[in-house]
Amino acid sequence: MAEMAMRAAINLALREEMRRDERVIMIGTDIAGGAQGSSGAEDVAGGVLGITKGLLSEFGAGRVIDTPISEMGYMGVAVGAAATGLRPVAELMFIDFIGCCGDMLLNQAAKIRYMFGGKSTCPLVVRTTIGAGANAAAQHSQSLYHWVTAVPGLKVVVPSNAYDARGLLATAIRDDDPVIFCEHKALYDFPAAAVEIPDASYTIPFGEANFVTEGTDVTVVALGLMTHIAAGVAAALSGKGISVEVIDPRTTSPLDEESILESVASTGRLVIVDESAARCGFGQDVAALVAERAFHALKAPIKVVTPPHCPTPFSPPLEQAWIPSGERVAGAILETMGLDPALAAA
Amino acid sequence: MARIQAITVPKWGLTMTEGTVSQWLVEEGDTINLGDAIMDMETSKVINVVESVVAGTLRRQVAQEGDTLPVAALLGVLAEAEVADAEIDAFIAGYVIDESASGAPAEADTHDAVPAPPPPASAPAPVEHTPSAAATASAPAAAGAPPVPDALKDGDDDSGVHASRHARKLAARLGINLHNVAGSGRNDRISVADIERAIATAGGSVPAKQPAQRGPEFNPVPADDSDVPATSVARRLAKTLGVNLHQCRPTGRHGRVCKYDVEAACALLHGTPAPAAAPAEIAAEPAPLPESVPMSGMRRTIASRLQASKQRIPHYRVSMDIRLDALLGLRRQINAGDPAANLSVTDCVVKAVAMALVKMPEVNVHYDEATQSMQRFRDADISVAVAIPDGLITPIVKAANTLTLTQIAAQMRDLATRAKAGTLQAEEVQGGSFSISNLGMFGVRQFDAIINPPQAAILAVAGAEQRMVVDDGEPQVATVMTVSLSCDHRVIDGAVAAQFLQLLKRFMETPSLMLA
Amino acid sequence: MALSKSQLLEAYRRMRTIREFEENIHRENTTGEIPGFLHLYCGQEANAVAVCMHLEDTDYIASNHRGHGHCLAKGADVEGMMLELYGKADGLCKGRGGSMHIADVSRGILGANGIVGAGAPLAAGAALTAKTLGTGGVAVSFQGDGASNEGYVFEAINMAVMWQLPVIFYFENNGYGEFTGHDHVVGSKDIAGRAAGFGLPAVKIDGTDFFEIHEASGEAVQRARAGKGPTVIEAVAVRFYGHYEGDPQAYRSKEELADVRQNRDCLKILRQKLIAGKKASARELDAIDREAVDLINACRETAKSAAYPEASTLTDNTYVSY
Repeated sequence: MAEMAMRAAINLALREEMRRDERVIMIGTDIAGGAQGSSGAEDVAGGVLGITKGLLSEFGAGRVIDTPISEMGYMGVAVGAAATGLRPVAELMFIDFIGCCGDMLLNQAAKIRYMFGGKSTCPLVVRTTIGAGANAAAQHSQSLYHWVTAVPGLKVVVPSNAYDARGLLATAIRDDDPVIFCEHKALYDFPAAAVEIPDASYTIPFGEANFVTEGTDVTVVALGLMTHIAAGVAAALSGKGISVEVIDPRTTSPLDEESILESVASTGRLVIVDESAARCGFGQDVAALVAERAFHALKAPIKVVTPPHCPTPFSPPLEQAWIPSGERVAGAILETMGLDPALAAA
Repeated sequence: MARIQAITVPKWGLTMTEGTVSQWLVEEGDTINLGDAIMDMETSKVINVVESVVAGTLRRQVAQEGDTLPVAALLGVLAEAEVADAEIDAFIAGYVIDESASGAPAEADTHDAVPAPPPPASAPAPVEHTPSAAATASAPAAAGAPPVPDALKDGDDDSGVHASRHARKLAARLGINLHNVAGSGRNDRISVADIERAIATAGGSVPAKQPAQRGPEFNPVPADDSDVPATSVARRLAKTLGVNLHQCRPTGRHGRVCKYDVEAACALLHGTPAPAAAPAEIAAEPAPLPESVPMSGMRRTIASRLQASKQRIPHYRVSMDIRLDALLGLRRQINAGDPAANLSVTDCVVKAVAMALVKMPEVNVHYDEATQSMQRFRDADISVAVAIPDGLITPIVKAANTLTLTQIAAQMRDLATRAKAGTLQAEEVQGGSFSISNLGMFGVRQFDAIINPPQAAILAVAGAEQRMVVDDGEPQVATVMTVSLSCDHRVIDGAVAAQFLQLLKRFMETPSLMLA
Repeated sequence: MALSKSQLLEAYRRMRTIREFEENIHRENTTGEIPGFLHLYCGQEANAVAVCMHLEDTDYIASNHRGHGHCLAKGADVEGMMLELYGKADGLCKGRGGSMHIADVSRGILGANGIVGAGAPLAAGAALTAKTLGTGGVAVSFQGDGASNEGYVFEAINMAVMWQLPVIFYFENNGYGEFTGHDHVVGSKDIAGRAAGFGLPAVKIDGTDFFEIHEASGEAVQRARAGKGPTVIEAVAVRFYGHYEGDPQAYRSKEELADVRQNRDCLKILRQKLIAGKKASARELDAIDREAVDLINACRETAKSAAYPEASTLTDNTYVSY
């Protein structure tokens, strides 16, 4: 057991899977970095966020493939390779660039198995980054996991800590179907996401939520970075006698509906904290699920805490106002309890 | 007379099987006469006083406040002073409930807590499909855990069995070994529903789900409810259930909160099982579904017109008591003189209203909201509400101000008959200038009616009854009827409405004016 | 590359079978029994057949919306194809794909494709697999002149060059991208010349001449197998029918339509060359013609009477269900 940051845990999982199965390859822009620069140095970057550093040195350019900035092209290559015997892990630097490779994910990877009558698979993993907080502004801060969650044929993972990231990535790579693996960039070095992880490799099944805290008054569903905000609020509110159950679904497709429904059945109140979207997002989807299947258990209206319906701003104070805050989460929890949301500030 | 006599739980009504001691009203040593109130007792329906059917000295309060006992169970013992305590102890020890008196098996007193008998293996209990543990999780301790068949309890360490978080919690609470439950979820995971299914399959019972109570739970009520009048049983139960007595609607005697009120409040606040009669905004799942009744065209018309009226028209009401003695006398005279006339009070009201409307045309108006205009009528075309199966219809007595009482009576009979037969013509129900609704025949003391637009007023006529009235300081009996005028304030002001009622009262109390 | 008589007769048989398949669909489509969009390959048969004669089952092709010919040429079962077009349970894709998404991975077919140009990166991916795993396989993407303007086709060519992938990008330039003339939208009016700028062999050939196609594609496949990287081939071909079935082709002159059938029919040209070169007699070829008609008729009747998939199988082969 050792404590490990999420960045290192993802790197470790990639190494482990590449060692385990030589069909696993990495493909993406700058995932090694440095090729044919004037210094002659290679493997200098490991992607713009340094996640894949060292893989080139260990596995060679035949399996760690730096691509041109051609998202659609290399994603198509990855899909074609996946359909014919490799198990590519393609890196889409930011999920904001999904528009540049949308067809290969939405119309090719997602459809292959079904459209071909079950005669083909597409064991592709797309690692990508999501999330605001890095002052990266509107084109590098989105959390578009709800887009891909809406597409049948794609599995979608949103890990919130090092342990989950390692286990879920191993599962994703061993899965025979396309998986979009969404890494929140604020979590790579986030202290709370750095947790003890076992020495030996392990997998975590998809579609099984993690209970971050257990509680009896309010269920809070949160993903990625929002999990940590929710957990902080839960700890603060426990001091006020409010018992919050924080559930991290970990995968949005498949979604662990059962754990959410069972929790709401026991608490009768639901708050969803979601960075994806103010409308038609993951949060609204969970709200609809509960309204549809556990309406009878609800003691109060569901609250969904999301960013406002506007692009992620650049200026730091604006960006902080954009990201769902602990105050807003606490306020929503108090509101479902019939208490004054202003108490959250107290 | 026996030396020792028993005070027992009475049977108030056929369905009573048990009662809860609310409060002793007498103490040991008191002398009890026949008919003395000795105790407040609550049943599922009422809180009532137990009156003694025996006389003597109360030697022993056997039942304690809060005890729930079956009919005919021993509450206390009466005996004369010379009877030794030991004898009384022996009497109590040897007391057996008279089954014929109780009319219910003795164990009925604890039926709440007794597990339902397992259904025969061939007929497993129906399984709730809702993946909810709300009822099981939040049921008060009093209801007990659902009975779990032993077959589900045995097994090796189940910590490695794949189960959802809440399924594991439930299993731990119920003492179920997860090896005995089949998982139906993703990756064969066991869910709460799987456990409930396993219990049912093994012959156990799963508590029914109850809808949760919506709305804010934390009403701003004072935490200290000690000053709320309540029976001691209710107070203890409220404490157990965590119900604030301020949140209970008192239905007991002297405005006290009783046990039933606490249970109802608890059901309302926490969604815990409520007594069968408790109102539920959303029907509890185990209850039979309400019958779905299609809306007839007439129902829909009534619904939409009256809803629009109530929502859009600024209604206000003015009421007045009218003494009918003189009018009833006149009616008697006319009916005696001409049996065919068969004059009713309603006929007289129609006539009086018609005359008043002619005198005060400000009330005899239509208001057109779209054009913000008012139409004033010279004649009084009076719509009279007639109840018919599945609704009501308002045939019109046209130009009632020009008709005699007997003409009005004849028209009213004709219209009512044809209304019930469904043969009225459209023009006979459209275009009245004022409406009357009379519910007096049902003994209604007063009510308010909803305006039938584009009319601007409607008169609600309640029943005539004998009341004590004071005339010049002298009480006397008079036949009095309360009428209430609903008006559209946009076109009829309060003073006008009041004057109209004054005028109506004058015509009805001096009915000869109607013949003038 | 010398071809034996039996190879030549087999090539003719395949081209003839594709022609009959497509003509049959053209006729049957008016009955309303064939669901969905149909894009016919008539006029281009020589391209698919000549290229695929160089390929094994372990080689891959990625096709496009006009894909029936490519799939049949690569060895897809004719009856399975027909069943799929009719949306029947026993179709190649169990009724899930239809005309535009027909596939048989066991035959190295990565599918027809409803997205213009999508086959190019997919084929490059298949080539990457072949290279990485050292299978010796090659991949061919078939696309039209329209797809030559899709950015990701350029991306795929660039990467294939970078990584020297065993892939052939085969452009069948039939003169029209949907309803729009090639010259209007290909700025350089020269697909092969434009592709050459990526740094790979790129040739322009006559897409109505079976022998020329066979020659050029043979060289490209050989080069790819030898690890010498990708090739672009632009074959100038003709399209008999409209972009899709039901397209009245008002944008084409009657003269052009008559001319392509009369003078530029690859099947007719092959037949003439076989007879003139004494490679086959008219009788032999007529017999093949009749067999093709019989085969297609039989497949059609089978397809028409076959069962549709059960609604209960709707979500088969999905891997997340709610």
